[in-house]
Amino acid sequence: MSDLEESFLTKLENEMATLLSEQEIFARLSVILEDALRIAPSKVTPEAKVFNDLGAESLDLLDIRFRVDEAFGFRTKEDELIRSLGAGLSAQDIQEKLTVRSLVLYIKNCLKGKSEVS
Amino acid sequence: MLERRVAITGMGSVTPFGVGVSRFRDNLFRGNSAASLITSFDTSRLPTKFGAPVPLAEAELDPLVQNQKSLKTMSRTAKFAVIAADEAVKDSGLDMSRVDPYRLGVSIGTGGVGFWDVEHSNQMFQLVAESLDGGNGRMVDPSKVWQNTLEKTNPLTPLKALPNMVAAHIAINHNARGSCQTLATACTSSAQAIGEAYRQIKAGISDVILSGGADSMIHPYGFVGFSALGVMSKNNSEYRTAARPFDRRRDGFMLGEGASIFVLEELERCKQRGAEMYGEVIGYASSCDAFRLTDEPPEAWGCIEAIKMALADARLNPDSVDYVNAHGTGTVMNDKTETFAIKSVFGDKARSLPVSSTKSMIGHLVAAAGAVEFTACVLAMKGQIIPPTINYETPDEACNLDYVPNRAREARLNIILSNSFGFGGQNACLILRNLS
Repeated sequence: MSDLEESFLTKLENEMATLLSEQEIFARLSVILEDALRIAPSKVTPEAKVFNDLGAESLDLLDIRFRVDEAFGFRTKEDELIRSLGAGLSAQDIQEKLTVRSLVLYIKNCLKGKSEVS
Repeated sequence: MLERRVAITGMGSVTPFGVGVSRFRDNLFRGNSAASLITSFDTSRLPTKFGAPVPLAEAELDPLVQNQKSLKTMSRTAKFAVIAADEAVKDSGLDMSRVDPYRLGVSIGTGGVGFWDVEHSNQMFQLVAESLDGGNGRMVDPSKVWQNTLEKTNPLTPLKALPNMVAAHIAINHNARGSCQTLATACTSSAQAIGEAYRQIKAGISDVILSGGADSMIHPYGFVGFSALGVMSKNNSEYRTAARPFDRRRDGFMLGEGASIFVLEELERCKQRGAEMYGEVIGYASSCDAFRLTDEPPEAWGCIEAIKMALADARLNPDSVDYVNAHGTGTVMNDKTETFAIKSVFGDKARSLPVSSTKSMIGHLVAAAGAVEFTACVLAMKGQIIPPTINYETPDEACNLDYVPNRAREARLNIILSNSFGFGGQNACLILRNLS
C-alpha cells in the first residue's frame, strides 16, 4: 500500500468514526474498560459506575482516557472528561456520576466536535 | 525482657529455573546451569549474547499475578516480586487476618526498575524514529521526541519505573500497613533489605516483615550498561559454562533475573502459633569501602569489616561458620578480593571452609542476588547440603579455597554466612542459624 493510499484510508477511518452510533461507541468502549479494569464483559452496562461498580481508581481514569483517545482518534484535554459531567463537582460526585453511559456521551461529543473541525 | 529474635517462616522465589522455591532447589543441588542465549531482544551487535533469564515471557507471567488490574502498572521486576511474595506468605501459613497490619512491614531491595524494559525500549525507538527531522534519517528533534513520548505513552507507564512500587504492590496485596522500605544499593540491595528488616523486628518496630528483593536487567539497557562497564562474560562460544566464578578462565558474570521474598517473623510469635521455622537470621552488617565506585580496595577492608561485624552481631567467632555463600560474581577482581577477605577473617580455617557461588548456575541477579542466594542458604541448611560452584575447571592461584567444585556436597550445616558486595563499594553480610 502506498503512503497516499494509507493516508486516504486513515482519513476515511476517521471520518467514519464520527458517524458511530451510541451502540457502536458502547461496544468499543466496553472492550477498553474490560481490558483496563480487567473485568468480565457482563459487568459493563450503560448504568455501571466506573468507580464504584467497575472498581476503577483515579489512575485508571488516566489510562481509560488514553485508550479512548487512541481508539477513537481524538485528543482529550486534561480535565475535559471530568468537566463534561458538570461544573464544580467534588471527588465524591465524580465517582457517583461517572457511568459507562456518561463516557459514551462524552466520546460521542468529542467525535462530533472532531467532525465539525474537519 | 527477652531479646527479640528473628525466624524465617516462609519463602517464595522466581529464578532463572522458573517459578517456585522447589524448582530452584531441585536444580541448585543438581548443579544445573540456567544459561541460555538471549532471545527477548537482538544481541547480534552486542559483545554478550547470553544470560540466565527467567524462562517465562510476560504472557506466561501475567496469569500468576493475583491482582490482574495492577498488571498495567507493573514492571517485570514487580511481577517477579509479587509472585514470590504470594508463595512466601502461603508457605508461612500466616493467617493475615490475625496479624496487626501496622506491625506488618515490607522491606525490598531492587534496582532501577521497569522503565527500560524491552517493551518500553522498542516503543522508545519507534518514538525516536517518528521524530526524525525531514525524513533524512539524520537529525532527531529532541523536543519532538519528548512531545511524542508524552502524547503516545500510556500515562501509567512511569509507575513501572519507581523503585518503591515493588514494595507498594506487595503491601497492597497483603495489607501490610507498617514500615515499608526500599533499598537500592546495587548488588547488595536485597541482602541489606533483609538485614534491615531483621533489625526492625529485633528492635520491636515490626513483628512480621515480607522481605527480599527483585530485579530484571535482562534488557537492552542492562546489557549495554554492563557491557560498557566490562563486567559481563563475553564467552559466547562456551556460554553454557561461561559463568565460572573463582576459575582462572573466568571473564565476568552472567546476568540473571528474578526475585526471592521471605516471611521474617519474631521468633516467640512463631512458637506461639506453632509455625514451622526454616532457620534464624542471627547476624547482619553492612559497610562501604568509601574507595572507588567500581573497584574494590585490594586490602578488601569493606568486605572484611562487613563479615567481622556480622559475626560480632551474631556473637559468633569465625570458627563456627560451616559454609560461606560467596558473592562470587566471576569477575577477575571480585573473586580475588573476596577470597582475600575470607582468608583474612577466617585465617587457617579458610582452607577447610566450604565457599561456593550459586551465580555459576543462575547468574548474577543484581539487586535480587542477595535474597535469592539467601534462599539458597536456607535450602542448604534445610537439606544439610552445600550447593556447588559449577563450571569450575582451572584453579587460580589467587583463588585457592574450597569452592565446592561442580557437585553438591552433604555437610553438617549449623551456621551459614552469605556475602553480597556491590558497585559503590557496598558490602552486606547475613548470617543464618539452624533451629532444628
